[in-house]
Amino acid sequence: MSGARAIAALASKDLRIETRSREMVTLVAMLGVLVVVVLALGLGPEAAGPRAAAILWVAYLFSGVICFEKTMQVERQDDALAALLLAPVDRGQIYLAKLLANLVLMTGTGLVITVAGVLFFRFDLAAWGFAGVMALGLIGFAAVGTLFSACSSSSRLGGGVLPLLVFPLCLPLILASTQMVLAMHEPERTVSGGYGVLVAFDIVFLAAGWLAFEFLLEP
Amino acid sequence: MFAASVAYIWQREEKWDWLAHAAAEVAVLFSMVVLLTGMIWARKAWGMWWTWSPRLTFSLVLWLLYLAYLVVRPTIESAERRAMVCAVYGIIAFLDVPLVYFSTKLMLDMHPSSVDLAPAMQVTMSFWFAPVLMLCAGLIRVRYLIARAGLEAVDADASASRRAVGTSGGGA
Repeated sequence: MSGARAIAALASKDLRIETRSREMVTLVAMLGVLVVVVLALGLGPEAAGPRAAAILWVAYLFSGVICFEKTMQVERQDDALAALLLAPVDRGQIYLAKLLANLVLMTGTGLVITVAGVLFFRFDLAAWGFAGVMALGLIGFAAVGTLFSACSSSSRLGGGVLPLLVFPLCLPLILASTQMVLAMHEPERTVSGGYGVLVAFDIVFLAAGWLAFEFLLEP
Repeated sequence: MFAASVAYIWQREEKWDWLAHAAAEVAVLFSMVVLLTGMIWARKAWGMWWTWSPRLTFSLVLWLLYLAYLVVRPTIESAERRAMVCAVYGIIAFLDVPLVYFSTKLMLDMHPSSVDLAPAMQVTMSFWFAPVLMLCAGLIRVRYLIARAGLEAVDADASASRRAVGTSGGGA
């Protein structure tokens, strides 16, 4: 089986499980909206405007780690992972397939969260610029998250270990994207090289994840 | 720590894992010293404990990165697995460092970007580098030796109890 077909088959398997059960997307979108609502209640209408990008990030981060954990947990049921490892597929391709499934799921939940954010914070998206920055940010976040989701079963903390490992690693993404969203709304502030940081993060961690995934993957 | 992590993945020998762990502990300690002394100085010079200047943010993120390593490490029970997960995290965290640096560059700065030191201060600073580097290397070495001694003690214990079981079995 060629690489691209193997990746498509694995990713569509994960997505098919999700479309049939619809368990996780509902849970994750709900959690994300709750995070936005809690912060909106706490911060009040003064927090409106581009600074809400940070609030959206909090919701993306928490719903994201649940996504990563769940797509990996599917493989741990009934020893599915052992079968997957026996299949004649490169481990790097398994990583890319999981990443693809995670990205599709996160885009769906991210849309719900973003709509909630726009409503509650009267947040002007400056549409395409915002979407581009957040898309690059989410790709980097998913690249790191998918990699470490492979090792959460070895820790006593289980899924709890994932945010501990992933959040500190993603701080440069959050920093760069929030600064860039701020700059889009405040013309006097200039941010140069923001896209460079985001793209570099994505490339570095996609490559690192693809190479390192096999060391972390274990039934 | 990066070098030790790469060496572990390459050779799969426990000693590299101990070395990476020792280096992470010392890194957390040193960055904590930087943060705390910096905060005390900032309180005196700027009148506040903390500002989100790029340099402070950079040190804080580094501290968090390596602290996460130390927090997650003891929660993984299998020694082999722990070493592997930690080695991968060590490499990924190292790759993150330049990205953290460049992302903090995007923030508004309060620190002077370059400082011209008086000659006397330059001499003091270059003399200061040597003892700090030696202290750093010394601490890493001590932590590494402690890890090795710990494992030797566990091994000695295990073989002693095996011998005890063997003799009591022979007597019965």
